[in-house]
Amino acid sequence: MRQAQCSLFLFFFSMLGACQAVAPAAGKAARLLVPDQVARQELQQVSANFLGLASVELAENTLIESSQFSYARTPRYDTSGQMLQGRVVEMPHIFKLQIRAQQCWLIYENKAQEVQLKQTKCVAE
Amino acid sequence: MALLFALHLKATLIMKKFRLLATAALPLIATILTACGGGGGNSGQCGGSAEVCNGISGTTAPPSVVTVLPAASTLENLCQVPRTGTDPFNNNLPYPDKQGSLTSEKQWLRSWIDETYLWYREVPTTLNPDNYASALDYFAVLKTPALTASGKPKDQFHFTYPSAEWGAISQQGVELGYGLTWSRSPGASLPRKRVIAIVEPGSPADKAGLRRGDQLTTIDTQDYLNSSESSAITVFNNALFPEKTGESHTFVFNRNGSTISAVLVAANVAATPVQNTKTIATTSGLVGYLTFNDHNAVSESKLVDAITQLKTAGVNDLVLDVRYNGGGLLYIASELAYMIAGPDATAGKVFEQAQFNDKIRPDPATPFIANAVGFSAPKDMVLPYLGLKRVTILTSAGTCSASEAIINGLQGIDVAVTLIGGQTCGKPYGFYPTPNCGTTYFAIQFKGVNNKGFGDYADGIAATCNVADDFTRALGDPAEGQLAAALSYRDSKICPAASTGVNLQAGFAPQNLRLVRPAVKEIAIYGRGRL
Repeated sequence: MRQAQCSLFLFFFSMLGACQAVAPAAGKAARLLVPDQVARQELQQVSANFLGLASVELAENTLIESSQFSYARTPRYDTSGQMLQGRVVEMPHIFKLQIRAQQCWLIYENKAQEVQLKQTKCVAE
Repeated sequence: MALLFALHLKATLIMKKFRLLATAALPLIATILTACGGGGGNSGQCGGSAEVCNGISGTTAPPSVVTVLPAASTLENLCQVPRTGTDPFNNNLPYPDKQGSLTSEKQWLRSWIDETYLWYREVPTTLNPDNYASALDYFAVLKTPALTASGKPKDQFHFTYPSAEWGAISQQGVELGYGLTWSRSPGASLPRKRVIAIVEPGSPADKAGLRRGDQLTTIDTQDYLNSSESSAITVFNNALFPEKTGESHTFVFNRNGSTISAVLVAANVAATPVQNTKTIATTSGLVGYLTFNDHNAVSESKLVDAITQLKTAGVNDLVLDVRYNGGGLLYIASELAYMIAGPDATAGKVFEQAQFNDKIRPDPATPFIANAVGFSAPKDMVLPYLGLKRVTILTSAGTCSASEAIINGLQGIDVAVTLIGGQTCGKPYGFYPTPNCGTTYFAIQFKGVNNKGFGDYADGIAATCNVADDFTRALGDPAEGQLAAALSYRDSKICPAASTGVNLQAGFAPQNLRLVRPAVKEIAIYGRGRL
């Protein structure tokens, strides 16, 4: 009974996601061709939109040495210096850069959502 | 099998994420969760980790609970001072708070502890909530008063955090700072000692030429070693814990008697969680070494690369350096344990099983994960493995949680694990952080046990050989104290005599130094300044 309830729940949850998500088309993993401030600002804004936040920050080397980056709860520490949460089972928010038909796309892996980047230039890995 | 596990893992992750949403009291989702997680009157078949079997502790009420407590779910979000507006970390949805009282907040705490706390039976029943001025004060005593075998409090991990801060997210592996990890002397005694433990490659500190072992002496002209004036401490805190990129501070260090000055500009620094992967030739074969500092998403692909490199090189032994690794993603720990032990030793075995109190049905066990979860490595890729029957792990008091799970998980399948360094921190426990009225509460809710059912290391996992951190050498240098001892011990089975063979920098008592985690403003300077 409970399994059936859970299955229904998972189905409902996936349908909720489907309202907003389109399965990304196949592309090639990519890295930034021009890692400038314009590209970073666009990536920050798009990422923030996906996450429902006003803004997020990105390190300067993001998408230069790999084709993806991720966000997770900021680690917090107790007064003895230990992580409050040292066994984490929450899935981080994973973003991947792809190139498709010479256009750069940012994929929000967790919800299978994507957006075409207008001001960011990238190159296949 | 892999597909089944992937489905299980995905479902588990979704359920866990969903519980977090539910605790934020989204009405619709909360309704659905109730339908999925133990409602419906299925007494005894309630569901899922940290979900309560019975809303009210009725027939299963522990002997220590005299009165029947109301279900925590009936008391949540009833706040003395309800927040208004929207939650920026929850899609700007309205806060779930409703008008309540200090009493209702305390009642929620008592019920929530009774339902989910691992040792709920040991919580004193004589506590009068009216004696505590705030919910936080009351929460602080709602825990077991028992002690461990060594005399330490059994529960050393009972915390709260402002929800507005706990909800913040940041890029994985990226920290605002200079690219430095410090170790420092504990307590407030003078002179202070603070030494560089790690310099991140390519960071501002690296570009300034700083090295592991450099001892901090001055910050922005203030004597770091001995100044105790509040103005100086403010200077120290501001410099050591910058709050925005571009902040610039001048640091002076002592390096073997020489003075090194560096102007450091704070930046968002991408830390490298896996470093120094190398092979070391010994008379008994090729030994692999890697430094593993953080179980974050980035580390997955880096660990795959490192193990692939070592496998290709043909190592027959491994030294895994987790002396500075305080934990993180548990599935990364499982993947690494698999990559060390291989499929034959791990097939069908439990990496870690979370044990909850008797009111909560446990999660499925975490197996040894043989295919990448997809944090940064390609999802479902077959992980490389070394297939070792023994491993040496370098540890310290900063080796915590998920790092300890690697040790305990491997010991649970009879891999011979030798620990060189210091006793680990002793945190076999976990939480489901739960918000109420703007505060997120951490009460121990489960203990992780290995394939043999062992997880009793609250006093830490003892080192085979106690060897001090050697700040005079780079990590991965075969002459570095802990690594040298590891290489020696694997042949001789004899521990070095204390740390006498290590050329420790004058003025240090390294065994007393403690790792400083980033963003630990609270412990920057004890008793003064920004606390």
